[in-house]
Formats: sequence, C-alpha cells, structure tokens
Amino acid sequence: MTWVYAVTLLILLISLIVGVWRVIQGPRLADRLLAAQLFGTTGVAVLLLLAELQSLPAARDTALVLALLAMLAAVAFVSRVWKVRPDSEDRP
Amino acid sequence: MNLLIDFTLLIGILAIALTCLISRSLFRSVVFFILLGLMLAIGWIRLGAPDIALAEAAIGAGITGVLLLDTLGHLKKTGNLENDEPAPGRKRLILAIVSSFTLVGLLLWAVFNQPTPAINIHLLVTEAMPESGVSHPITAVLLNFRSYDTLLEVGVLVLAVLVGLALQTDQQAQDSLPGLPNPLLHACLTLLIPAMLITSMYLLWAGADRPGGAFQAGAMLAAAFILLHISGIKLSSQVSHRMMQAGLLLGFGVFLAVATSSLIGGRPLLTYPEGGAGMLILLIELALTLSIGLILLSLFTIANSPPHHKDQGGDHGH
Repeated sequence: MTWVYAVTLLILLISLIVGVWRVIQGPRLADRLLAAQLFGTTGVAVLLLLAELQSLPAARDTALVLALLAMLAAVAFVSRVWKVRPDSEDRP
Repeated sequence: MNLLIDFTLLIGILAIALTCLISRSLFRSVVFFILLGLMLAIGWIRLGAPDIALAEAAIGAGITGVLLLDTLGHLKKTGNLENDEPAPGRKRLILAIVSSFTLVGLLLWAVFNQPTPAINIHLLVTEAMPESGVSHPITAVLLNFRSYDTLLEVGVLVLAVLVGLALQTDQQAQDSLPGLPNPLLHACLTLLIPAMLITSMYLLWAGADRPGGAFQAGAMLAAAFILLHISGIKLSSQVSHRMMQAGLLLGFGVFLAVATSSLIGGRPLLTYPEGGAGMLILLIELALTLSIGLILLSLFTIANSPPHHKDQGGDHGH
C-alpha cells in the first residue's frame, strides 16, 4: 500500500509545481489567487498522505488547520484587494 | 521513491521562494509567500517536525498571508503602491548578490561547523519530563524548562500591538471598511466559525501531549475573529474598548503573575510549584490563546484604519 501513497504524493507534488505556472501567468489577480486556493486543497491532500506514509498523526492536525485557514486568504482578497480598483485588475 | 519525493519538494520550495523574491508585482509576491508557507509546512512534516509545521500552517500560510493581503489593499487605497519602480542599478545589484551569497556562505559554514554541545540537551529534557507537568516535550520546553524565552516572545507581541495602537490616531474611525454583504460568505461562516473555535480549543488542549499549543490555537482564534470582522461582525463594536485592552494584556499578565508568584514562596523566578505545573501551564496557555487571538486581530484591524491626514498631504506633494 505504501507505494500507492508515495506515487499519489509525487503526482500531487508535481501538480503543485505545475500550479506555480498559473500563479505566474495570471492573467488576472483572481486567477492567481484561485491557483493559490488550489494549492491549499492539494496541500491538505499531501499532508493527509504524509500522515499515512510517515505514520505521523500530527500531520492530520496540520491538514485540518490548513483546510480551515485556506478560505481566509480568499475572503481577505475579495474584501481588501479586489474591490479597491477592479478596473486595474491586469496591472497589480 | 522517498528520495524523489524529497527532491520534488525541495525544488518546489526553492522555486517558490525564488519567485517570491524576484517577482516585480507585489501581489504575486504575496501569493507566493502564502504558497511558500504551505510548502514549508509540508517540508517540516517530511522532516518529522509537526510542531513547526502546525505553526507554519497557521501563522505563516494563514495569518501572515492575510495581513500581507490587507496591507496590499491598504497601500492601493492610499495610492502608495508604486507600480513602476525603477530596476536597481548595476552596482547595487552586484553588491546585493555578493552580500547575499556571503551570508549564505556564512550560514552554511555555521551549519557545518556546529560545535558539539557540552551537555546532551535531549537527554536532559527526557530525564526531566516527569516533573514538567505535561507529556509533550516541545510544550515542556516552551512553557516549563525555557519559559523565559516564551515570556519574552509574548512580550514582543504585546509591544508590537501597543506600537500599532499608538500609531492609530482616531479611535472612532477604526473599522472604516464596510463588511462584505455576501450571503454565501455568511452561510459559509455559520459552518466554519464553530469548527474553527473547536479546533482552536483542540489545539490548545492537544499541546499537553501532542503537537499543538497556545500560538497555534491563538492563530486559529484570530482567523475566526478576522473572518467575522471581514463579514461585518466587528468584535470591537461588541466589546468595550477597555475589555479589548484587558484582553490584549491578559496572556502576558497571567504569565508574568505566575512567573513572579513563585518568588513569594521563596522559589526562583519562572518555576512552578511541585505537582501544580500542568494546571498552571494550562492556565497560562488559555490566557495566551485569547490574547494572541486578540493581538493578531488588532494587528489586522489597525491596518484598516483610514490613512492619516498627514500622509494624504504627503501624497499630494508627490
């Protein structure tokens, strides 16, 4: 079973690194932040897999914290950055 | 396979850190900073250090990211965000590269030339564990064996928020931004806030025998407060100003009171009475959690206060 975890983990990590491209590319601010949100979800999956792979139950707590706090960045973005000047989205 | 996973993680962390630094757009840098926190949390788990991973996930990826986004919004609103910053001159660039590589070299030298410790700290902690009042070694070190460091850390946090409050001029003008009237957000919050509060208390309780503790719990509490604040439920309008100030100082006060009360019994500073250590540590951590939550919330709301008139005058001068 361990190798299944390891392979899944590797695929998720590679997908994280591919996701970096979307953050760099944009083109809009919202695209970048949504890519970051995807990172959060994938990060939770990676942590849960690591908890199994390394038999480290505390990794699940970390995943829990990450899952609960992931929304914070999106909400802060919408309320603080996005609304200020929506017309200038392409020029951060 | 393990090597491949570690290698991918390492490449990812380095790439994200580098992009965060060299990105010309501040927003992109902030997003990469959040991603860096996430990757570092995974990295710490990989290294078998769940305590640091938990702190990194809560404070690095969660709270700091929000504070930076908030600051960015504030900079935009006040027009202090310069988009067309000129590229640094050649000489300055070379100087920066040389100095940063020198620093990296020095750090590497320091890592590889670590002096062998005269005493085995690991063994000392393990031997003293039964007297510490908790069963998780990290908590025992942070709140019993080296509680001096933690006390000063909390002092630094209190100092930071005091400076922030001092810079804030008009108390009434605080919370100038209206709450988001989004029904989806409010529906989400009714599910999220209870989960966050329970998790916060869980992390606090878990600190006694598992990774967790006041800082992580405080960050989680602050996250719940900040979400409520953004959605329009302001804690500062529910609680009086005095209560808020008392809450900010509560953790440091309780910690200091426990630390100095041992002097009355003739024991040295920052020691616990025999048998009562566990209870006192829990009391300190409970107070610290509340205070850290309020301090982080205050740091967030201070940034939202409208710009000073003096600053606006400066803007016109440009």
